[in-house]
Amino acid sequence: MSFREKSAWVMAAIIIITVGLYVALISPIPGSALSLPVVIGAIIVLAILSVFGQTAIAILSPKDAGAAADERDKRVAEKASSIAGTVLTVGVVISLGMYVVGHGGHALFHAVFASLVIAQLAEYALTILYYRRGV
Amino acid sequence: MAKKPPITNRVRELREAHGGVTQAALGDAIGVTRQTIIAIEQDRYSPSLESAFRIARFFKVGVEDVFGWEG
Repeated sequence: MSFREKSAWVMAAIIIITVGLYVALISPIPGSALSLPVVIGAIIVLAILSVFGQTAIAILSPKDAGAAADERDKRVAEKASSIAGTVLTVGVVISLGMYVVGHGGHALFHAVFASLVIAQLAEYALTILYYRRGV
Repeated sequence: MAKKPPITNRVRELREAHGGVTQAALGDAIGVTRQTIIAIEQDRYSPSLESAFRIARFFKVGVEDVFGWEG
């Protein structure tokens, strides 16, 4: 398994864990209102887990970690990020539509945040798929 | 699901015929990772034209001796 595929697995797992924690903390708040401490906490947890996760896989495969991306890595990254960009665009447009039809600012924040998460997960999933099935 | 590319190759066969060159050594020589050589051999990735020429030059054969078109 290539270093970048391992990285995609690790980052997808970290995002799922962090977003799970975020949702668990936001849900009990009346109206799921935006809570700055929870948002900042989620960002800090994401950053710490990312550093630990990436360091762990770099220690397990030091040669691969230091290698520059080759042509296949670049092609996989381009295709995955292109589709993820479309997912993000659709999500943001839907979020703005929700705001226009009367949902409040908190809903807009959560919808855009969800769009970011879904787009990022799509990018990692596609990265894994392209490495495994071919690009 | 990605379609299997129509380009076939004899990379594994040529490696074995040249004294068992490792996938890592071939990858280093042409500037790609070992995983990319594995993907080429398993027909999961069609290399760029530049890499195809580099592979052929590594084995001192023509590109058409390494790669073929299935169809």
